[in-house]
Amino acid sequence: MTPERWVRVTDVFRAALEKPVGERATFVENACGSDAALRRDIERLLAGEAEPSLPSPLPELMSSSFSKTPPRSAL
Amino acid sequence: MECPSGAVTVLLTRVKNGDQNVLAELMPLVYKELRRLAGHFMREERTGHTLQPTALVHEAYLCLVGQDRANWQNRAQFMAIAAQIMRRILLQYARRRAASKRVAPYPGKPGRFAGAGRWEEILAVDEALRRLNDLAPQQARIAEMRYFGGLSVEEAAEALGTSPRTVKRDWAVAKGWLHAELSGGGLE
Repeated sequence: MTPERWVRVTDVFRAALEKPVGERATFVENACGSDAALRRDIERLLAGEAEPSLPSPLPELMSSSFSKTPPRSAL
Repeated sequence: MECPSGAVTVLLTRVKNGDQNVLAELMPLVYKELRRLAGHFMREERTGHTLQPTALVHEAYLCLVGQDRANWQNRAQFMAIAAQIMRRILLQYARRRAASKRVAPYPGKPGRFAGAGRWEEILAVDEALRRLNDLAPQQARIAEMRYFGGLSVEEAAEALGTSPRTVKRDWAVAKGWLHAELSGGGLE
């Protein structure tokens, strides 16, 4: 993945997100044309975006020994 | 609880104006305060009180800036910096645990991530965000704020000086990227 390619991927992904769920597959197919790799990437991003957010790791921070023995090289 | 009131407000204003050098001054202060509060938090925890970690960050902010100077703008700026610090601290712990358990630091093969522990997940998120940073730094920063710092869309927008709409759009991309990377599929 290059930054230039990523711009293309995100453009199509965002446009797809604006479509109703039922129309996305057709939209992506048309937008990607013969670029099968692009289509796979968009489909993965759409699937990922629909997942619930990852749980915050802050409880791990608090349950670690942060307050007692800070990692020396953290900063 | 006693608060060490300091000149953090000035430093936060300089960050907002784009002075990145000030981060080096700010980080140790924030780090120290978070640590002090975490100690307090853990003692409270033992006596049956629980303080949410995001409340802890807010508490650190109020202590460092001072009640009278607290405002929405520099609070968001502060939380963004706290997110960076918490990311670094969590990584140190996660790496240490990975090393002691002799497990691979990043489960980069399909399916390997499923069922991995929370510390492995933190390492994997960090890796995925580093790669995203090479492609689109602002998307990676927003994900850092949201995941490591618990910032809302509005707070991230304030910290970046952009609109909530832009943050929402970038966050959608970053969230899709994170899940794709963590599920082992990755993008082409």
